[in-house]
Amino acid sequence: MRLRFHFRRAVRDIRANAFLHTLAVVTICLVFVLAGSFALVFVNVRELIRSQHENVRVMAYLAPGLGKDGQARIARELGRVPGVRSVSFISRDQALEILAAELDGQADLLKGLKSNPLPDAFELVADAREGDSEAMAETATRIQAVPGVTEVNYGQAWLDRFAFFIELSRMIAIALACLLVVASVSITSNTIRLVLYNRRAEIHVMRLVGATEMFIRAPFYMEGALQGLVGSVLALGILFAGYEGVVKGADTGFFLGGFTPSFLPLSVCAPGLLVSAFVGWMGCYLSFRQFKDV
Amino acid sequence: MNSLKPNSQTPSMERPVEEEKSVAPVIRLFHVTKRYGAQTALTDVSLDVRKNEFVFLTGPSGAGKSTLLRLLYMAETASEGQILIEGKNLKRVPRRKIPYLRRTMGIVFQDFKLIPALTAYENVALVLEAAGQQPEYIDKKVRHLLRMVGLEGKERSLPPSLSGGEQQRVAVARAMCGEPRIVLADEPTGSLDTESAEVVLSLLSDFHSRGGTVLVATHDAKLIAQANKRVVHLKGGQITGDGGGVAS
Repeated sequence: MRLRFHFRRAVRDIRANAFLHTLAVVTICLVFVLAGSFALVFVNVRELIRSQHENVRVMAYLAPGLGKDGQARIARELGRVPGVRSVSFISRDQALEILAAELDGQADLLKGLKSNPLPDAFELVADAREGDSEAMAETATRIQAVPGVTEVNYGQAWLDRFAFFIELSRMIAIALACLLVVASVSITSNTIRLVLYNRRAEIHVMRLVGATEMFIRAPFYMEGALQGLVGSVLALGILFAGYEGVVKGADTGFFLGGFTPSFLPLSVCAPGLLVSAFVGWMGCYLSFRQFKDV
Repeated sequence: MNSLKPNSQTPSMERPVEEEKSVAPVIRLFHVTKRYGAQTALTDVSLDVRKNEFVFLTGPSGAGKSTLLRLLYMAETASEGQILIEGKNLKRVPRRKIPYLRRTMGIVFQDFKLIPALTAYENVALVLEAAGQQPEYIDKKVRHLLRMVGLEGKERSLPPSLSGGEQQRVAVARAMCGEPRIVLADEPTGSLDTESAEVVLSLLSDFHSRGGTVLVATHDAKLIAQANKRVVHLKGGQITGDGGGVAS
C-alpha cells in the first residue's frame, strides 16, 4: 500500500473538512482529558498509599523459656522466610517499657501488675506486595510455622481494606476507560459519517472508475486514526500543563506528607496514544459498515 | 477465461493498431431482463457487440438504454439472463473483483461525473492512481491525454470553472486513460452544444479507430447520422431494430 499517497489524500480531506475534523479532535481531546485526569489521580493515589504502607510490621510472639539459643535459632529461621526484610528482637521487658511509654499518662495502670504478662517477640518488617493480602497471609502462615512462635499479628484488617481499595479503583478505571473508548469511537464514527455523506458522489465516481474499497477507504481510516491521535496528544499536553501547574503551584509535598505526585508514566502514555489511534480507526471502520452504499 | 486486469493487448492511445474485426463478441447479452420491483426496464434483451465495433443504442427516454449500460459496468445486476464481457460471465464476478472489471472499461456519463474538488488533471489521474500506477507514468499519461482532448493548459482547472464541453472532454480523457478495451458512453453529448458534441464524437471515433469497442447510448439522431455506425433501437425495454444507418 502506498502510505504516503494515501496520507496526502487524508491530509487534503482533513483540510477540505477542517471544521468537522477540528470539532471531532476537540471532543476526543476533552474525552481523553477526562480519562487522563482519572488515570493521573488513580496512579498517584496508588503510589501515595504504596509509599505510606510499603512495609508491613509483623509481630511474632514467642513461647516462654526458649533461652538465647532458641531465640537465635528462631531469628535465623524468620530471616529466611520469603518476604521478610528485617528481624529484630524485643524482649518482654522492652515490650513492657514500650507499652508504658505508649500509655503515656496512664502508665500507673501497669504498676498493679505482679509480673510482666508480655511475651518475648520478634518484630519483623515484611514486603506489603502492593497490598496483596493473600501473599501477606501466606508470609504470616510461614512465620507462624516456625517452632517457638506462638502468635503472629500483622494488621490484616487494614491490608484487606488497602487491597479492596486498589481493586475497586482498578475496576472503576477499566469501566471508565471502556465508556470513554465507546464515546470516542462514536464521535469519530459520526464525524466520518458526515464526511462520507458529504462526499458520497465522489466515492460513487471512484467506484465507477475502478477504485477498490481499500483505495477509497484508506484515507478515511487514516483520518480517523489521526483524529484520535491528535486528540489524545492535545489531551496529554493539557494534562501535563495542569499537572505542572498543580505540582509547582501548590506545596503538594507538605500536604501529602512528602509525597510528590508524578505525571503519567510512559507505560500509560504510549499505550494510550495507540489506543486513541485505534479508536479513531475503529470509528471510521464502523461508519463504513453503516454506510456501505455511499 | 480472460483476466480482469489490463494486459498488453489493450488498445493504446499512443500505439495505434490496425483495424481488426474479430468475430468473437466482447459484449454478449443473452435474454437479459431487468426489473425494478413491479416495473420492467429491460425484457428479454439479447445482443452481441464484436471487438472493435462502434454501436449506438438509441430509443426514447425510458427505453432502457441507460439500464443496459449500467448492467454492463455492474452498477446493477440482471434479474434474468446472462451478460458476458470478454467471455466473463458477470454473474460470476465476485464483488471484490468488480473494480478490476471496471478498469477494462471506460465510462462516459451525460453529467460527466467529475469530482468537483479535484482539478482536471487529478480527475483523470484518479483512474491510474486507483490502479496503482507509478507517479511518473501517471504524469506522462495524463498530460498526454489532456493535450489530446485539447485541454492543455487547463490541468489545474477545477471542473466548475470549465465549460460543459471541456468537462466532457476531461471525462473522455478519464475514460481513456486506463487504456480500456471497451468504452461505454451514456448520453455523452446530451448536455453539450453541437460543436462540443462533435469533439466528443471524434474522440470516441478516435478510440474506435485504435481498436477499441464503443457502445454509446443516445437519442441524438444527428450524432447517429453523422457517425454512420451500427444502431440498436430500444423501445419499452426491448430491442426493436438492429442495423446500420440513421436512427428513426
